[in-house]
Amino acid sequence: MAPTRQDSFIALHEAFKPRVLGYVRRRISSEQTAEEIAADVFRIAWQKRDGLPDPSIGWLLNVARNLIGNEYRSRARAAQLQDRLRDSEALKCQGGDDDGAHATIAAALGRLREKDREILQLTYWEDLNLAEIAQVLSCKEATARVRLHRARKSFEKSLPPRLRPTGKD
Amino acid sequence: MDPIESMLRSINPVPDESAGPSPALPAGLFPAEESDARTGSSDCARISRARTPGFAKRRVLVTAMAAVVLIAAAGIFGVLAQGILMPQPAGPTPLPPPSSTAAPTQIATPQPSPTPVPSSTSERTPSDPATGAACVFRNVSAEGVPGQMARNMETYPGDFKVLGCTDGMLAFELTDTGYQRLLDQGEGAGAFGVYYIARFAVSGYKYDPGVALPGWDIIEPVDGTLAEKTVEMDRLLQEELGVMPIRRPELVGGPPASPDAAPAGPRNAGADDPNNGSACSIEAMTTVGGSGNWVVQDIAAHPENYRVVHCAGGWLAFQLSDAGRQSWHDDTQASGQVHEGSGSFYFAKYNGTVYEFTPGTSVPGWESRSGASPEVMIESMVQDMEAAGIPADLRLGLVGEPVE
Repeated sequence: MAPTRQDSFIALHEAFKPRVLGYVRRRISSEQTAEEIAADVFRIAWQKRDGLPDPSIGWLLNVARNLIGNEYRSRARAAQLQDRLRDSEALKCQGGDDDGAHATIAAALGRLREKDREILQLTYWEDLNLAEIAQVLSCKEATARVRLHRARKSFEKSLPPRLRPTGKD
Repeated sequence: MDPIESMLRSINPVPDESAGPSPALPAGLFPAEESDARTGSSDCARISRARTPGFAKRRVLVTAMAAVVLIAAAGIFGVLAQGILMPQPAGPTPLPPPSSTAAPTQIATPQPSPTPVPSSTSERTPSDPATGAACVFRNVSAEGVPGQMARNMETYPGDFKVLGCTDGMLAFELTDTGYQRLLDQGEGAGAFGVYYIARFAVSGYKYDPGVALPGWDIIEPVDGTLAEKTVEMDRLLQEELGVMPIRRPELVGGPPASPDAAPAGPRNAGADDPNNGSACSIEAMTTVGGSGNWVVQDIAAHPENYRVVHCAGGWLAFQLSDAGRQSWHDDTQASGQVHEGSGSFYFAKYNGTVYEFTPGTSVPGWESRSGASPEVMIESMVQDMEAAGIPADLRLGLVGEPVE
């Protein structure tokens, strides 16, 4: 018997919900809000099921990205600032027994332009390929490739020499 | 995993997406007729529990306690079982293998084995008949050798492919990825198609930076027959390395037609007239997407309207032929629509089977840049190639120098 649309959607939800939630949790400090946004992503996907019966992870994360943007815009400025500070501390706290290397790496990432930081996060935190990144960022795959290349270069430059893979200034 | 990737992954604040509670399906997601009361209440309960602030903390605590109890029980059972069922060894307790005691490194970079990995018949790993060592890249070291190439051998061993071994020598080459990386690092010039040599020493094979042989793709005569290429390879191996022709197949295989040394895809025609090559040609190209694009439609209908400029590094550059330009002008006049410049360079990327052209992967040709100095023309070409996602380091190989 062929799977119903509901079965297909449940399979989609099971397959992608950890990645969508992970994406949101990396950007929203409130666990409850992150869960709500992730749930909203799938609610929207369900509402759009007629036009888009089989959404990709790139499409889902694009929706999540927009919802996160709405979330930021709707909050008070003070709350945003607190969230960002907490996010920054969360990054720094990744280091503990590593002589501060993780904190240094996090700081280097934090110094990048938002565009560069975002594409690096999509690539290495969300494990998206270039086609999926292009979908999230609404750009061409070739553009995403160039942006990733430049972001990697920028990140390497922002690292202290001792951490640079090439060891060059 | 390259170092940058490794670093960025190491600071992922939510490295495991299963670490936190997963959202339940949103309430009211499914049509009413498809959900019964039990399912509905179950969904509500899941959402309610997941959104209770203390729930996650309590669940982690309970899970951790359960794990501790289970581990303790398993340990006690294991000790009892050892004591009851098995006699204790009379001698000292054997040490665990070194791998289990190795301290974790912050950024793990694969290192070649300090001792050569012996060849085992059960693994069917090819071995050097002279040394018996397995003919694998993890037996190759570049320690102490200066240069980006040597650094990449230590950092990105997956960038290299072993060709063969004989007489205490191991031949290897760059993969396409490795070549591209070296280009990105500004050290790739002259590395395409080259075979490198590592010589056997006490602790394995050591990369010899003084030897670089032209591979089958680029060996002279480029347009020659297989026999001519083979003669030249045999001569080089004998003169440069002292390898007798009879040993050549073990080290670098045969010319491309031979199954033991098939080159890795048509990365470069390497010919003066690439259209004569079987792989670097319009026929070896396909188009992706953009069915409404004029060039895509025209390629499908009139492939003769296009000619290959050159192939390099996994890319094929092409442009309108004279007939294509005429067709472009005719169509522009007839339709009143101005298509992309008739002097554009178009680029298709090799996907392992064919070259794929995606509309938009193009840059204005040299003609549109005329009037400026050659340096300025090159600089603008490089910028345009980068913007279009084409490795600008391949500029010379793909579109050459500005026209006079």
